[in-house]
Amino acid sequence: VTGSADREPVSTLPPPGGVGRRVPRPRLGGRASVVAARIGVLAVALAAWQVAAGTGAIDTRTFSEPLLVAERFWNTLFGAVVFQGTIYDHLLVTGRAIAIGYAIGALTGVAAGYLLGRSALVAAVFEPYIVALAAIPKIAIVPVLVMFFGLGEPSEIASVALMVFIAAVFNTFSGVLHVDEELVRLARLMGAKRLTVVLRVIIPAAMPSIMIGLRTGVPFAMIGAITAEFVASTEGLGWAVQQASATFDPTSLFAIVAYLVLLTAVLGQVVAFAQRRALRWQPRP
Amino acid sequence: VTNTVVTDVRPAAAVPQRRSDRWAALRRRPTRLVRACLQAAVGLGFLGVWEVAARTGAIDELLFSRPTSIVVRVAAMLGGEQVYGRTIYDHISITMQAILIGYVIGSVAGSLFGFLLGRSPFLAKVFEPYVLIFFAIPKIAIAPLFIIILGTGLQSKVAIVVMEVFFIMFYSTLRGVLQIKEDLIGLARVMGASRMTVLRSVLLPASLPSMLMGLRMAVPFAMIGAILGEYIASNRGIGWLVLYSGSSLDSTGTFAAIVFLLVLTWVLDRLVGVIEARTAPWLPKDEKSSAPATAG
Repeated sequence: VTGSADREPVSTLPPPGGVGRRVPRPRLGGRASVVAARIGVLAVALAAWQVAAGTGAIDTRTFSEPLLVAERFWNTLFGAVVFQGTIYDHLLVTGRAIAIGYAIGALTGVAAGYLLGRSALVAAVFEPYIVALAAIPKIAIVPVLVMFFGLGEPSEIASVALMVFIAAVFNTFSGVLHVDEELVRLARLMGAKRLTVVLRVIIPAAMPSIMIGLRTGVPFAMIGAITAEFVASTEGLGWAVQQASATFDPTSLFAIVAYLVLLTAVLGQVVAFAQRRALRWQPRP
Repeated sequence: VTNTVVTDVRPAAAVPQRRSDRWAALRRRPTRLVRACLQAAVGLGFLGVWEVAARTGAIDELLFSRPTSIVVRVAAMLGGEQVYGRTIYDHISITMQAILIGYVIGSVAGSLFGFLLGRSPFLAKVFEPYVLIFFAIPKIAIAPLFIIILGTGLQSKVAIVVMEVFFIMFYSTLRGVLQIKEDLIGLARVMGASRMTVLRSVLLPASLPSMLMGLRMAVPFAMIGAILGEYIASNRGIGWLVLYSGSSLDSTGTFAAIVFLLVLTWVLDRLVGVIEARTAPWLPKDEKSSAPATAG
């Protein structure tokens, strides 16, 4: 829980440009073999799973089998009921909590990070608290939120907002703290008003790390929503996963996790789009 | 460089030591002592407001508890009082078992896999989409699967911790290995180093900083894994204690359990920090203290 915010913002996102970016040329015969190998890996894994389930090498009651999972996914896509609602009911509950909680957490987090980072004195005083807040396992606080807000949606929104707030405040804080004072002084010298300096210099300069905060906020929002649904809810994708586990239904569990992955991917794309728009002035890597 | 001209517009000799100026200087760069005092003041002020608000009834003590009751409860727990059937030491050791076993397995497997993909461009290309998909999966959503497969005991908790730690270590190691300059390896090879020597004397030391950083970052994630496992299906352990006292509306107990959790996380982080300092004493202090970023 030590360290300082006085460094580059750190994210747990994958390295930019993918994991294989340094690769000059694949040795085994070019792109075609890479694509073939990718499909091959997936096909072999699924086939092995299917065969092992079919021959009884693994217990289908705990591992299910690919064809069953695909069928369950397909049926739920067309409105089959899973755990007291269609998949769209659950998606709506989780999606709404994430949308509202994310908006609250992002706005308050960026605002608080800005206010705390702009004054050297305030920044120095609050730095250890912000760093500690970022490093603690936040899911420990979820039961406290449930205690305050009761079961269901309010505590779920609060849990999402808290996770996003902490990701946003941490990165905004270190971004604003690292704005080149030279730029600020130059702008002031050239006669810029305070508001102009804030809007045209400080915020654009801090924007890259603000956007990192907002992007790391997406998986955190997901974690917040799912944890809250695990702990205290009777609807939503996270609750459905929990139900699938409690009723020993691995087929539904895999199918619902597939929807969760899709939801995460969509949300990630939305924020990545916003990031590209906000950082248009930056040269492409 | 022309813009150094504007760094200080006031001539140095003309700085008068007026009160407002000293205050301005303090605001810009507070001394260590002032800073420490203010930091303590903020923390104590927060606790003070909490205590007074709870005592005067401004906030509901049943829900928010108050700092002094929490301190009393923590002391009682330290003294060996039974909390929901066990002493706090039993709860801690139950959780720590899962964390330690999972942390070791997860970090070893993660760094091996990171090395493998980092050093083989073909494998890296092949596994890239799967790695990115796995990164996108909210891993806590798969946690209930381990409960189905492994039951509700230690094993499923260990598996969840392994999963959390594995991915952190894998990405850190991969990032470290990809940063190594190919020239260094080529040079060593030209000078007659065997593959083993290259691995031991070039690859490992060069990727060590990012691996150590991964180890540090993985600590809160290991904690999260264990807590989550106890949230989902358990009747013991410190994560369970937080949840159970929360759902029994025992807010003092919840906060006390959280205090133990935070101290535990801090101790583990320090422990890894010490290991880090021992393993790579040549690293600059800056790089070593690049502590955990944000953890769910």
